[in-house]
Amino acid sequence: MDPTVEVAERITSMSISDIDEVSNATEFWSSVLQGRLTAIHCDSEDVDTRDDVARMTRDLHDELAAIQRASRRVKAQLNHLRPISRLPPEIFAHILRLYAASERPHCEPVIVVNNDYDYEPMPREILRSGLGWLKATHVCRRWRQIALEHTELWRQVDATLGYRWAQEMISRAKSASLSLTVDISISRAEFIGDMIIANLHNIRKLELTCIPNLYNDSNDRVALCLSKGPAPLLESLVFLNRSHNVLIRPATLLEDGAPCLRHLTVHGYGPFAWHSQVLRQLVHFDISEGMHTSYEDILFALEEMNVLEVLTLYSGEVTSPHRPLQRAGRFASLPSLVQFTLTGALTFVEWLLTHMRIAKTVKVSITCRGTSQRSDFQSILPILADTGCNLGYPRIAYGSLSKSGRDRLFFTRAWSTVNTEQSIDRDRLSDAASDFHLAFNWVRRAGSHDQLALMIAVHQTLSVRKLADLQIGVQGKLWTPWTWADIFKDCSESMESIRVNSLAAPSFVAAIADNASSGGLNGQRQSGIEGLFAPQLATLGIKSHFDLTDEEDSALYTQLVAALQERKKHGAVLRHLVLPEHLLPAARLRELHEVVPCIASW
Amino acid sequence: MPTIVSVDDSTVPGEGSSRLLLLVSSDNKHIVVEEDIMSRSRFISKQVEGFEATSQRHAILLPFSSFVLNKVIEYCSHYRGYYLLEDDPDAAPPGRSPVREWDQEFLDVDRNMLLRIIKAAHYLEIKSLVGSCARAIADMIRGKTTEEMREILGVENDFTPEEEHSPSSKCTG
Repeated sequence: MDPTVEVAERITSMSISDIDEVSNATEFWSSVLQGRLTAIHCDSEDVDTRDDVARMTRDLHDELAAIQRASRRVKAQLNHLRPISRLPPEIFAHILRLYAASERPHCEPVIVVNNDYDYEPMPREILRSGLGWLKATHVCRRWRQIALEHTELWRQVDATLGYRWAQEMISRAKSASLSLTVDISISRAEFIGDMIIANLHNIRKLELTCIPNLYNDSNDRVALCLSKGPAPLLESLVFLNRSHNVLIRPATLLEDGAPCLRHLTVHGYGPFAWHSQVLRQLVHFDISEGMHTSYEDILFALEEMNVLEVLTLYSGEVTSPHRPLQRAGRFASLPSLVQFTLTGALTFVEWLLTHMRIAKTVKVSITCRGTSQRSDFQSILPILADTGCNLGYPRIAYGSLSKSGRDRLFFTRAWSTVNTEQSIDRDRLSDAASDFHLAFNWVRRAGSHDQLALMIAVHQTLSVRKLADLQIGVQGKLWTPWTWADIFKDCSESMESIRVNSLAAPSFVAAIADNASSGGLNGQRQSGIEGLFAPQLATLGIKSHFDLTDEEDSALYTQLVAALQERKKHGAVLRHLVLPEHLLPAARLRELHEVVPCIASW
Repeated sequence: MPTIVSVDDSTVPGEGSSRLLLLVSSDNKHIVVEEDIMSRSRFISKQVEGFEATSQRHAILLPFSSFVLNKVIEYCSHYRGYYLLEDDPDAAPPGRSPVREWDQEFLDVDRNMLLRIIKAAHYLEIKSLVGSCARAIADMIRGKTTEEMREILGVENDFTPEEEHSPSSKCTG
């Protein structure tokens, strides 16, 4: 009799009592397995030819796969008994929704940034992607099934993950309204326009990021498709232009076809269609443009925006190309406004404020470009006297701070990112820039060490306890390695991003590995100063002249890997590492990938 | 559906300023609680409305243990008289918000207990508690790998090799 049939018959002929007699699972399955191996002639040691070996190998792999399939069935039975599996599906879907909201699938654009802050795309193969909440659909069959059945989970579509992905998610969202994110720098732009047009009727939120200097045609194509409306559900439209170039003119966008649009963000496009009827219905309006528009056009538009609650206006001009006409008796009252953020040249700010009625309850934040001291604001301070206004002029604070001799110290953007309502004490900010100069010079003249002078200057002028984004560019060998870490250690809890140049890099790399429990790299805290562990730190950028292929400079690389391993050990994994391109030899790139998921290059 | 049994007056303590309810857990523990406290539960509220229609006093049998029931009562007692948006049937569903500070401490229990509480809250229709538990569970798996999620929630990988490696699986992923 065929041994397979024999085993099968033996099993099927077993009565319950027979099975009970096989006292344990190990004995039972050993018996079955032995029978099976005999049946397929794989238990013999008598293997003569290469063909026999190949056949038996193939057969055994088949058996293994079959056993794995069977074992998964047992595991599925186990899963049915788990408490998490006994939650009602709608509750588990609710958990997934919350999880999905906090961990979106993403594709990190790896972008080359040259010194002029222009962007160039990198080949697709080096894009870094993360599955986000979709990892949960890999856990077990039930989780995946529930995810597939709940269409609202799929409505957040990130087209940067790829066209096929985006289409798949849209099809799974079925009739649920969509929130679509498109980054033309890393999406296949030729498909994106068609995808948007095909789904425009169902899109509730659309975010478009474009790079005009590279994809002029694609940008235009995507932008133009929006003029084809209607978009009956569209509530939020975000246009971001990463380049300084301005090519798209969103004048024709959704002129009459977006009755629900309430939130509009347009950065880097222009000239903007200030006459658009769409503006009248906005609740949240955030625009940054070169202000090719006349001041009057802006004022006329604001006059009509009766339901606007949040206005953010950024003018790229430092000086006004023409003096605006003064029209007596015309004011934009914006009756619903609760928050107003304005950045621009003093002349523009002054003109606009004198033509607006700002209620005392409105939260105002103003940054004037081209100003250098508090007295420059004399013309607008009376207008703002009764408003809860944050007034800043950060630009001058990150200019050069001269020292004697050839050494110069630059704060690159450090102060501009401090200028947030949460982190700044208004009174302290008001004279921050001039105080900084004064404090530094005063302490230096008194003969203090440079490091101390700087620390005192920082602590006396600006509150940096909630600083989240720090960019430091130092030139000259002024500082001991731990100077910066010591100065900014108060921000450790809030720091999310640090970008430093070559001279500051070694100290920061060491500092971010140093928390209270680790005591520094290899347990050796440097200089007795506690580091800047920054548990929330997600991004570290090093703009360096180091060459990691060079033996002398490889110390930084070794230190970097050790630092990131140390952070990983303490559960504070860095998400993004930005390095100069020449620092990325393939072997080391692979090693770094084990400790940081996304590596981009300058 | 819960089993509702008639009770005589001796089972329920005398009525004071607030009416009393008798809740019976699956391990047959009798718990007396003020109706006001449990009014956050839509399920209990509906039961009480039913009592009023029949003018009879009842005990409400619930399909979870007294340990879990006491935790739910503790939650309801803490928020007695508070307005919580999530429990307002007329309010729009709230967006994602962090777990309230007190809830965080309250839900600092082991995984199985947390899952029992969310089931009980779902049964009793206490949306705010369901929401807090769900956020706590979502927080447990946030930032974790698939394998870590399995470990945390005690789930086995029951995909066949073919399912795991199919293109559609990658897209689900």
